[in-house]
Amino acid sequence: MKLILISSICMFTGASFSRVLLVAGLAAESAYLGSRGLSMGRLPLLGPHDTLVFFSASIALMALATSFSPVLAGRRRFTAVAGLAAAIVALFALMFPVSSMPLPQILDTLWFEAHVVLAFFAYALFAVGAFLCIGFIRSRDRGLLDLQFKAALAGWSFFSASMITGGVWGYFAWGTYWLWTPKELWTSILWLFYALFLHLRLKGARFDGVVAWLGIAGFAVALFTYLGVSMLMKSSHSF
Amino acid sequence: MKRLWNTLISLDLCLWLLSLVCIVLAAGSFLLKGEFAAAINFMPLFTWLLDVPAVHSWWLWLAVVLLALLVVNTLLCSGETLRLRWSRAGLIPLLAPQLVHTGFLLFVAAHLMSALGASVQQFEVFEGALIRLPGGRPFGVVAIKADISPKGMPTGFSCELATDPRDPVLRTLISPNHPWFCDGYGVYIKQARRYPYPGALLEIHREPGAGMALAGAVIFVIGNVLVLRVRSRREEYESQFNAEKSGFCSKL
Repeated sequence: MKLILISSICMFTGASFSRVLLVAGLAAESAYLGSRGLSMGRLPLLGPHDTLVFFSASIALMALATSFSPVLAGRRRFTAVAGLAAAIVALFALMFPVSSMPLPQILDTLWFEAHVVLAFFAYALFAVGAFLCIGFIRSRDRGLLDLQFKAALAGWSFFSASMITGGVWGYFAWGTYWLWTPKELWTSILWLFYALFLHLRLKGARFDGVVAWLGIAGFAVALFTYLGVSMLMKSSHSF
Repeated sequence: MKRLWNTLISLDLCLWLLSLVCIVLAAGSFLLKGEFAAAINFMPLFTWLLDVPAVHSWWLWLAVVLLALLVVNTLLCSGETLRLRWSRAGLIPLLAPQLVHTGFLLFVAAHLMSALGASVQQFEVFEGALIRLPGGRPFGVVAIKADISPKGMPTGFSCELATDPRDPVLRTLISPNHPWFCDGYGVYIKQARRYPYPGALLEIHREPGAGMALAGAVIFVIGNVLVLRVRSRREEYESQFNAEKSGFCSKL
């Protein structure tokens, strides 16, 4: 099974040559996730291995959707960078053991699945936004920043929906929609950070440079919220 | 006075407050540990704030003050936008961001309500135990079930409750993700064991802000979807306009 994942990594790495390789890599990674899901009888969304693979696939999916924008026509670097990022995340997933433990009863609800899926779609859109910001800093093409704004807005919407479904799940599972833990605090920080980011755009073109750097910083905050908190801090969300 | 008003409705204040809240919460995430971290989720937030030494809670006090200012800024800014653009902008483009703001304000209000009146009580119970909700209503623990896999791993647990004193035959089954709600309280099963005799850990929660948070979530999602729709419509118009413009130019 891991061979499928390794083949997807190879295809993502070659995405600079053609978008077709990004599609093929995504298809292979989806097949890997699908086979894991079938063998366990649930969505593979538990533990660092499965979530990193899902994150990698989400980056590829969101980058693929974004790559059809007219702003990116003829720009192969975007799919190359996105493919490379998806490959690095999938490689990182290979470092963790594959766990097939049964789903704990507390996680056996659609609210949990929706919460996790929406969060990873949001993280992936924040990643896509960061790649577009790098492109803007290099080329000063404002079209890239406009596209990045759309990615950030869509990502923020997914993330808000993830927080809401997480709150509903928490209320049914723990009796409260909010717990004071490092993960929840960083989730709020990420949400407020992108709220700040979306408001900063209202300041106009004068702040384009700041917006671009904040778009990159936002992805760093997203990565810390997902990986940093789980690995470095004690939280109910740690894997 | 005019200067104060302009400051309170300004976008700059909003940006500074959001930045500061992020920094303060980040600091708090590293400071929240030990016995104080364990206690914060088991009492109303304001009780925790008053009980805990300021050296451990300063960040949360600061976050509360900053959020209060952000609420004022959001309220005034939304009000001013509605007043100035009421007749000039279309209804949906005008209302969509205000709905998102309303959702945010309701989230804060929900947290405030919970911070004042949330409660948690834990009970170690056995089959046959009689417990009372804080409001006085009694309920009984009829049966406790804990499933163990052949490898000895706990796979699931549930608890059967007799919840209606007038109808002792009526049963309610609670399990993880399926609590029993009554009189504003929720009864949750947290753990269960089979040996040496069936026992369970029950928690009775009161979360007064939950309804408000749900209302905020619904309004927020509606506003968010409308904002996305307004943005994509605007783009359609712009691309249509650009296409027509380029067609017109090529004809010339």
